[in-house]
Amino acid sequence: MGQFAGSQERSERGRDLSHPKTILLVDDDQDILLVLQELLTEEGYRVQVATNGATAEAFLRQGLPDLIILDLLISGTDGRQLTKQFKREPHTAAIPVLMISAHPNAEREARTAGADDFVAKPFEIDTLLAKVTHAVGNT
Amino acid sequence: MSTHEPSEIAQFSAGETLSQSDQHYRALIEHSTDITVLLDATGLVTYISPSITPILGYTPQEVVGVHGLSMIHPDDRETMQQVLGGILREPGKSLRAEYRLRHNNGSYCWFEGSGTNLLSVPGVQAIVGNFRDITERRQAEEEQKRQEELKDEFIRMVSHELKTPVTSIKGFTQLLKRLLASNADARVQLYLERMDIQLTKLAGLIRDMLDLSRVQTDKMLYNEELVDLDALVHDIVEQVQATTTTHHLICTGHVSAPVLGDQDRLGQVFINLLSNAIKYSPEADTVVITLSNEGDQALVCIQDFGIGVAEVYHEHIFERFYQVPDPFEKTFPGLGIGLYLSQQIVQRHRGRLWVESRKGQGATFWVSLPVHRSAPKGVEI
Repeated sequence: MGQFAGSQERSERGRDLSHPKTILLVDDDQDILLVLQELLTEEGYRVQVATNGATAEAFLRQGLPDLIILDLLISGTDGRQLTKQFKREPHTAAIPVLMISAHPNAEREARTAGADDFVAKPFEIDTLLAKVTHAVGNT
Repeated sequence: MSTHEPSEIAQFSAGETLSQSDQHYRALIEHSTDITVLLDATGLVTYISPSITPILGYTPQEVVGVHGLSMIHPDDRETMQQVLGGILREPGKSLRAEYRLRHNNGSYCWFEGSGTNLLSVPGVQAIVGNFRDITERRQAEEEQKRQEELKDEFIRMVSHELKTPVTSIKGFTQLLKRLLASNADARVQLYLERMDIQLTKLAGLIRDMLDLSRVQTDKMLYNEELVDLDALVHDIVEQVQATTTTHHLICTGHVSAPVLGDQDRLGQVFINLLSNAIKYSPEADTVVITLSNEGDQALVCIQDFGIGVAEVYHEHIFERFYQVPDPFEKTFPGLGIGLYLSQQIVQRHRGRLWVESRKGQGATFWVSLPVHRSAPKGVEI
């Protein structure tokens, strides 16, 4: 049993632990990054954390994640522009993008930019995990 | 203005001896704070009252003979050309408009004016126009609009800024719940659960505040999709049931066809009505939700067995910021936004939201939405 009660069962449910799926997190809020990082790591995912577009792109040059979780508005970069860019470039186009945002009308904007799915902030952990499982299951 | 030169009057009726009645009307026009203008059939000014001088800085002589549109702001000229054209086309036709005129000092002032085609009236034979300076009113309106936009932007920013910490606190609370799931002390889970529920409420209040500002500025966006009302109401009932231990939510009946609208917004309405039903029935333990059809309407009825609403307040409870002025009800905190927003959302779906209730005897809220009938097969739409 891991630190999280039941996390073992959950970890075994969605993925092969010997080949953990990788998720790239892009958000400029350190606390939200920490929440997501803790949660997804406990769930058995390999997590990369970027606080801006440049770092996110650097991660992408090293290897491709199975999912990108991205905030709609990141200071210095626009999450919508990043998503459009990922979806335009052949090597990143197939990576699902899950956009998160506290911004009004964000879902519409996220989907217009090309995001595959959307979660509004503040989010329920279970809702977010269900969407993550669904997204990586499709890769 | 009592310093009219004879020459000004001369333009109106040269050489005539004025009757007392004429003089009476002349005085009315020339002492008016509005400006009176006469145009001929080509739009040239044949007369303008002396009040133009204090208002726009021209003498009447400077204006007589020029085209009526020549002093109009370039941005308003095309519209005013159409207005003048409209007046010219039809004898007796009268139109009003707001536009800017150039002051002699080069600045522009706002005017509200009307013109009437009296070209075929013997003795007048002119387009008769009246206009008044409304610059101060326009400036006040523009300032008010600017303030509204600032307020709207401020509320949007505050809501966004509030949501960010709520997101982290809610996230950490849920992480703690998972971390401490095996803790032997049952209070740990209870307290964390209560924190999580309150954070969800706080997020709801922030959302209401933001929605209010968007409804008022008509910036609320609505999706248009087929909504399975049965599934939606059942989902929402399940969702709200998970946040209450005091009430049992009983959902019965069904609707026969989907409705057209925004699933999230309609969901918000039902969350609101169910939360109210629980909030205003502290002594009761049941809320009954009934789905049904009546003609081409889908009906959702939410009945509680709580404190009720006296009939005198039935209309008011849907007003923005309204709180029933009953000392007892002061114990029910809220922003007075939920029902207002719900009604706005339902009305945008061409539906109705109303209440049936008497004080002390519970309340029944009804939502009626037009069902969507698909086109008959084989018919192109």
